[in-house]
Order: sequence, then structure tokens, then C-alpha cells
Amino acid sequence: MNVPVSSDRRRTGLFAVLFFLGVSGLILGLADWDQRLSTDVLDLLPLDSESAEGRLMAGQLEDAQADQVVFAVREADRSQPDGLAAEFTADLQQTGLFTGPVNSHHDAVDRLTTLLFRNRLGIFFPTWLRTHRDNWRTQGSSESFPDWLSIAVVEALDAFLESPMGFAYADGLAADPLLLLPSLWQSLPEEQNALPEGWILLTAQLKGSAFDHDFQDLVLPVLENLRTTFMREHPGVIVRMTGPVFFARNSRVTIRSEVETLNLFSLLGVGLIVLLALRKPTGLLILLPVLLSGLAGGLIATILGFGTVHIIMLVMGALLTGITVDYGFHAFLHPKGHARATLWKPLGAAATSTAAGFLILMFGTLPVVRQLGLFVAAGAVSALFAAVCLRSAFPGDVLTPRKWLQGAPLRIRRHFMIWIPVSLLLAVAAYGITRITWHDDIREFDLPAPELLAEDRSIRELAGDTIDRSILLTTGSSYLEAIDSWRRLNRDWSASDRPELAGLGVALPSTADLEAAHAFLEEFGAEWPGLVRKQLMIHGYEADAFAVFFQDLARLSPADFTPGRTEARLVSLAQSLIGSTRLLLPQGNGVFAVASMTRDPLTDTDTPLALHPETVPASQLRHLNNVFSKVRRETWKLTLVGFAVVAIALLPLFGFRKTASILILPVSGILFAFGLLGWWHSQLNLFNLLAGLLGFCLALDHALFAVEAKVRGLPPPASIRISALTTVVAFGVLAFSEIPAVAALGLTVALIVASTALLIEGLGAGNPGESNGHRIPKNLT
Amino acid sequence: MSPWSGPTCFLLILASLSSWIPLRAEVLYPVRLPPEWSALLDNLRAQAPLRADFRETRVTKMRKKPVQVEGTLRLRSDGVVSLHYPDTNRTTTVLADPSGIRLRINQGRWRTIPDRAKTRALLQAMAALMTLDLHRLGQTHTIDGEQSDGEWRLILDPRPNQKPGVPGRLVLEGTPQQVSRIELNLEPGQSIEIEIAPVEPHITLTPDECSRFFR
Repeated sequence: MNVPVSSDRRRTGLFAVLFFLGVSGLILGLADWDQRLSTDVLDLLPLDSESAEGRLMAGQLEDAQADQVVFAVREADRSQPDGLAAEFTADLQQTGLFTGPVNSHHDAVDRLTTLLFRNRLGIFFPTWLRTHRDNWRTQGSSESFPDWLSIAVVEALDAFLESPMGFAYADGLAADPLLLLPSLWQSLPEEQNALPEGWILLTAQLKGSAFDHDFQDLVLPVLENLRTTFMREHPGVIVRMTGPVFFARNSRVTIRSEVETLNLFSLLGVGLIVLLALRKPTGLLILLPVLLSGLAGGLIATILGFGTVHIIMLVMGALLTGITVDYGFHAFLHPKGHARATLWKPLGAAATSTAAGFLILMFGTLPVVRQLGLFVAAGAVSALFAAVCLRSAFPGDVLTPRKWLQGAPLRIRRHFMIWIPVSLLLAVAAYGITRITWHDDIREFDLPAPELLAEDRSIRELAGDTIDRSILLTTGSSYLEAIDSWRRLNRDWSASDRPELAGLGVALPSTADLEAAHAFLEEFGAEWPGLVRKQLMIHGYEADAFAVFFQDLARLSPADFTPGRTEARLVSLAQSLIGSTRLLLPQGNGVFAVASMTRDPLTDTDTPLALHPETVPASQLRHLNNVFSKVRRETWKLTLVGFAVVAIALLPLFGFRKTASILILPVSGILFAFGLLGWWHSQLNLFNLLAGLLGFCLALDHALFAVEAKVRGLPPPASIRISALTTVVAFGVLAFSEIPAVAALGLTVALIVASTALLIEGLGAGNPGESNGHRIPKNLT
Repeated sequence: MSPWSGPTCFLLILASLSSWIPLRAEVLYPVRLPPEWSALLDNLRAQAPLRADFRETRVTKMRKKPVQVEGTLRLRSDGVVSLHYPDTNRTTTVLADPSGIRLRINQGRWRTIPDRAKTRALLQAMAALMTLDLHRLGQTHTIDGEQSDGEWRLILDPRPNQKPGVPGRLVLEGTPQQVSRIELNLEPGQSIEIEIAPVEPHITLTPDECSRFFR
């Protein structure tokens, strides 16, 4: 029975929506969107992750390294790479875009050498001492350790001078007869030393942030123009460049363009359906406040909850429009009569179950997924609020469906005629699901930028970062802790058949090394230099030639080998490094790491790393893939919890049997959809999973109304038919996105909704006036 | 005594001395080598592939006596030079080619010598010397050449205002068939001299030699 709505209620309803939209508009209009809207890749990372490597990586992205640009210059005359590189360096500095000097690879290595030389005794002496003590013990010498050591020093010096390497270090041996630096160089990766002939690498620090939009728009045209001009003026010269600023701008520009294009096609598609489906399309204007309320509510909640909104979340959040439009369709296409039972009850259940299901995502790790959860939940509730208010404000026939959307186009007498093909399809789909494998990749967020990637890869390969090698980062809360961890890793690594690990870690002191050096100097610090001097003279050396060494040794004290002083020395060393050498001792967000390299591409999973969680491959790609995989496993749990929450929420409203009838439809839709994906596109990712949750909520919405109609012997209402069509179109458009994450989301949702809609049509194709096979009195239809 | 003995003695002495006086001492410009020098260098390179023993003497300020080591030199047809230093404990092989110098210890991986400012220029000069790359040497050194009775000598002195690490005087000596001596003066009190025994020219490098002594 239709209860007339009083004019007071109508005015109140309208006022409530207008007030909400007004206040929301004011808040959103006054928001500084340059600050609130983020395209920063950092916002995609779980910064509050417990993983040290995640914090380190975030720190690396936050710090000055993110504002670096790397140039590779190759001379036409490959025998003289330094000549024109100097001119190019001067041109770069003249642009005024960079702060500090433009450093070449040679500058970086020279700086590293100087710093290591300056710190040779303070940093490398403990490990050197430990190695020699081990040898002394192995040999079982009857001499005291200091005596044995002094002889070993001179014998090693003899052997070194007789080797071809001797002349390369002749200038430094007077200050380093212990051969601390020559030993170190032999343990460093070869790639620290050499570039292919003719190439020179230059690193420059931008004055502004690589993620600042205005700065990006300033920097990139200047650099491109500089390169073009330089190469034109010097035929045969090649200049390449890369850096986060290139990728950041490309992402920003491309994502914005992508969003505009997708939205346009989505609107056109939906508009077309609306024209075909509704008698008075202008009535759709009534849905605008519902849609806007949903978006406004979602945005405001996200900003209040997170401070910023990520643009990737907005792209995925376009799915909210699918939900909010649904509520409008249901509210205004619903036939008069039994509104409470057949409209508000299922609509309320749909909105609350969607909100509950998406709120569960807020317990996840990935910030963008958490944002999505809050955005959709708040948006659904806001849209429901608007739909309720506006329906009471406009109780008449605002939207009228065309005839083809009404009634039961399929007439099937017996349900088993539906269930046989459905069961067969479900079986086929189930097999498709068994073909699914899960793989996550940071490139799911990536827009194709093949030229930038190729340029970046070519420069990385010049710097030694090739696909047949892996760089590992061993982390700790201090460098000493990282070194201790590295030693344990190296011990296990050496015991395996894998290519060796090379890096500073082999020469940096462990805590035990420091204690031993401290003890040695306390006991023998006074006498040992004299023993060394004596052996030098015996072996035919001019002891006075080593004056610098003996002066440095005299200044050394046990206090130099306390953990505090050594850690300070390591931190100072790390902060003084420039260019690519900074990767030897990275640090960020309170996490410190020691880098090492192996010629093992680590393509298999059975590596010693499994026993050393504090060591991770340095490739951000690999780490973020691991993060996404972890998030996906977490999202599985959250999704299942979400389903359970939804089921529990429906039980008190609909009872067990009806709830089961309702749930079987979206669940079947999901099975069909994932079955199809398993046949077609067997490798799925986190975003297919998220889409599963979203698709479930949308399909549940349809199922609620369909079952209510079925109980009353009515065909599926026009609202769910229009909703299904517009949803499939809107999300189908997303399936064409070049962003893999968005495409996965769109395709999955479209398939779920389409599958459920077909199932609803098929199962709802009973005779009109029949409810579950029983005739319903006409006064109830 | 004959009245002609004085002038005759003088002439005899002069004649004997003349065999020691270079007939042609000249400044050489690599881009425009005189034909006899071009022919000499071409002939030297044409002896490859070749093998020869050598002795290397290293003088260093910190030792009273120089270090002496011995080894075997191999020159490939493409101009790549391999110096192998056998030792009871650790064999080292040094490879010099236009791109630089690499070394290998105990048949392990080929490694570059660390790229340090002080060694960069030195290593480039060494590689150029061993591969007779006068063009590259001429960029940092002036080149004076002498030829006398089939023996030749190139003396390379550093040009003014060179980068740190550019070696001092370099000397190459030899015969039309081979380089017999190389001298590098690094800084006062530090030098390397390589004396090369008679070469075996036009050898066939066995596969084993290629894998052991070359990349």
C-alpha cells in the first residue's frame, strides 16, 4: 500500500541532500588538491610495514637519491671519454637545475677510494686482524701472535710487490703496508671499477623534488633540449639520461590522460544504455545528487582518514559510481507498493553489507587498498542516505523503464532446465579456476613507458646492473648489526654452490672483530709497531719509507674500536659517498644496510636468503612484488572475512534459507568469472582479488532485489537490469585501461556482474505470478 | 809512426763511434709517422702471434733492492698482449688491450684493476705501450724516435700539465723483429723495466693457451 509522503518530509528530504552536497562541496572546494591528491609512488608502499627492507626502500625513495638524474655520455672517439663529458657537465651546471657538483663515475670511485684510505685502519684493521689470527691458529705457529703477525705483514708485502698489482698501488703502499685497501679491492664487485670503453656516467642532484609537478614541467624540456643540442653539435656523441623525475612525470601525465579517456568512454557507454533503457532520460538528473553524494562522502572520509587521496585509488574508486548509481536506479525505478519490504530492506542490506565488506579492507597493509575500503564504504552509505532522502522528496515516477526491461523475457517451465546448463557451466568454470596461478608485480601499477624503461635499463647495464646479477641488501638497526647479519649470510652462502658474494661486508668489522682488535691494541699496541719495523728492515725495506703508516698506527687506540665510535665512522663514511657508490652502504628510515653483489640472478626460490630474512634483493621491483604478494594473501583473508560479515549481516534480515538463496547468486557469478579468467588469462593478481570483493558486493545488490522479486513471483526488477548493464559497460571500459591493475579490476567486476545477471535472468524466468513454483494471489503482485 | 797515423786514428775512432751515434733522431707525430717508422711498427705487429719470455725489474723507493720477476709474454694478432707470471703459490696473468688492463689470479675471473685517479692514466699508458698505440701515447707524451743500425728506440716524455698519475719517461727499444725492452718511470725512485728475450714469431696459439692466457 502506498503511503502518501507529506510535504514536510519531502522538503526535509530535499533539504538534507542539498545541505550535505553544499557542505561537501565547500569542504572539497576549499581543499588544496595539489597537497591532497597524490601521484607519489611512496603512497603506494606500506610505509608502516614492519619489514626493515620496506622502510629502507621508502627511505631511499624519500631521500635525495630520488632527485638524482643519471647521464651516460659516450664520446665519438672512445679513447677519450673525458673530453666532451667535461663540456656536457658544464652545460648541465649552467642550466641552474642542479645543486652541488655534477659527479662522474670516476669522481664517485675516487671519493670512495679516498674515504676508504682515510679510514683504512679504523674500519678495516679489525677484520684484517681476525683473518690473520685465524691463519695463525690454523698454522699452529709456535711464535707469539704479534711476532708471527709482523712477519706475515712483510711477507705479504713482498708477495704483493712481486705481483702485477704491486705497481698499481705503489703510491699507497708506504701508508698501507698491511695491504688493507688492496685486499679490499679484490673483494669488491668488479663492476665498481669498469665502464665499457668510451662511456662516462654523470650523476647530478636536482634542486627541486622529482615528484613536484611544476618542477617536472620545468626540468624535462630543458634536459631534452640540452641533449638534442649537444648531440647535434657533436656528431657521434651519445647522451642518455634517466631518473625518477622522468618516470614520475610520465606517470602523472599518462594517468591523468587515462582517467579522462576512461571516464569519457564510460559516460558515453552508460549514457547510451540509459537512452535505450529509460523513457525519460532527463529523469536521470535525479541520480546526479545520489552519485555526487556518494563521491563526496567517499572523498571526505578518505581525506579525513588518510590526509591524501592517491590518484590510483581514484581510478579504482570510479567503481563507486557503479554502486551509487545502482542505489539511485533501485530507488527511482522501483514500482509503487511494498516499498519497505521490496525496496528499502534490500537496498539497506545492500548498502550496509557493501560498507561492511569494504571496511574490512581497512585492516589491510597496502595504503591504497585501505583508502579504497574507506572510500567505497563511506561512499555507499552516503549514496544510500541521498537515495532515501531524494525518494521521499520525489515520490512520483521520476524514472520509467522501457518495456523491454520489464517482465520476464525468458519463460521456462521447469527450473531443472536451467540448473542443468548452469551446473555444467559451473563445472567448466571450476576447472578454469584450478588453472589460476597468482603472481603480483609492481608493474601492475605501471603505465607502459617502453622508451623510458629502455633508456633506464641501458644506463643501469653500463653501471653493472645486469640481469645476470643480483644486488643484495643486508639490513639492521645499525651498520654493525647489518654487518653481523651479512657475515652469517656469507657463511651460509659460501657453503652453497652459488656464485660468491662480493662487497664491503667482507672487510667491514663485525662486533666480534671490534672486541678482538680492542683487546689486541690494549695488550700489544705499544710493542707491535716496533716488531713490524724490525721485520721491514730485515727484509730489505727502508723503514723510514713507511713513516706515514707508523704515525697513523701510533694514533690508533683501543677506544677506536668501540661499537659507538665504529658506527659513527661508518655512518660518516656512508654519508660522504656520492653517485653509485652510495649504494654500497644505503640507509633510510632508521634502517642501515650493507650491499653485496652476486652473479646469481636468484631466479629460483631455493636460496640461502630463505634463512636470512634481513637480507633482500635490492631490486625495488622484486621487493615490491613480494609486498604485493603478501598483501594479496592478506586480502584473501580479509575478503573471506568480508564475505562472512556480509552473510552474518543478512541472516537476521532474511533468515537462513533466503540468505542462502541470495548469496548463491553472487557466489556463482564469482565462480563463473574466475573460471573464465582461469581459461583465458590464468595468471591473476591482487587486483583481480579486490575486484572479486567489489563484484560480490555489486552482484549481491542485484541478488537481494532479484530474490525479493522472485519470492513475490515477480520477474527481476528493471532497476537491476539497468544497473547490471551500466555496471558491465562502465567496468568493461576499465578493462581496456593500460594500467594493468585497473584493467584487471574492470574485467573481473564486469564478468562477475554479467555472470550474476545472466543467472538471475535464467533462474528468475519462472512463470509470472509464480513464487518458487507456487502461484501468488494477484493482489500481492 | 806514419805521418797519416794521427788523422787515420781519428777517422777510425770517428767511424767506430758513428755506429753508436743515431743516424736519425727525430720527433715523431703519430698522425704523420715517417714511412720508416710506419714500416717498423707494421713489421713488429706482423710478428704476431708471438711468444717470448721476459724479466721484469721493479724499482721502488721502499725497498733497497729492486723486485725481479719473470714470466712469459704472448701477443695475439689483434694486438692483445698477455703477460703470465708463474709462481709456486699464485699465478697471475695480465692482459693489455686498447680498452685497458685486466688481470686474473690462479685462472680465476678476469678483473679490472681498480679505477683510481692515480692508476687510471698509468694503466692507459701501459696498455698503449704494450700494444704500440702511439696515437694514444702521443696525447700525453712527446715522442722522440731513434733508429740506428737496425735498432730503434722510442723515448716518450710527459707533456706539460698532465693529469695526476700520468707516468714519467717511457722508453721502448727493439729490433726490426721485436720490442726488446720497455721502461716506465712512474715517479722518482720508482720504475718498471721489462726485458724481453728473443721472440718466437708467428706461433700458433693453442686452444689451451687462448683459454688460459686470454679472455
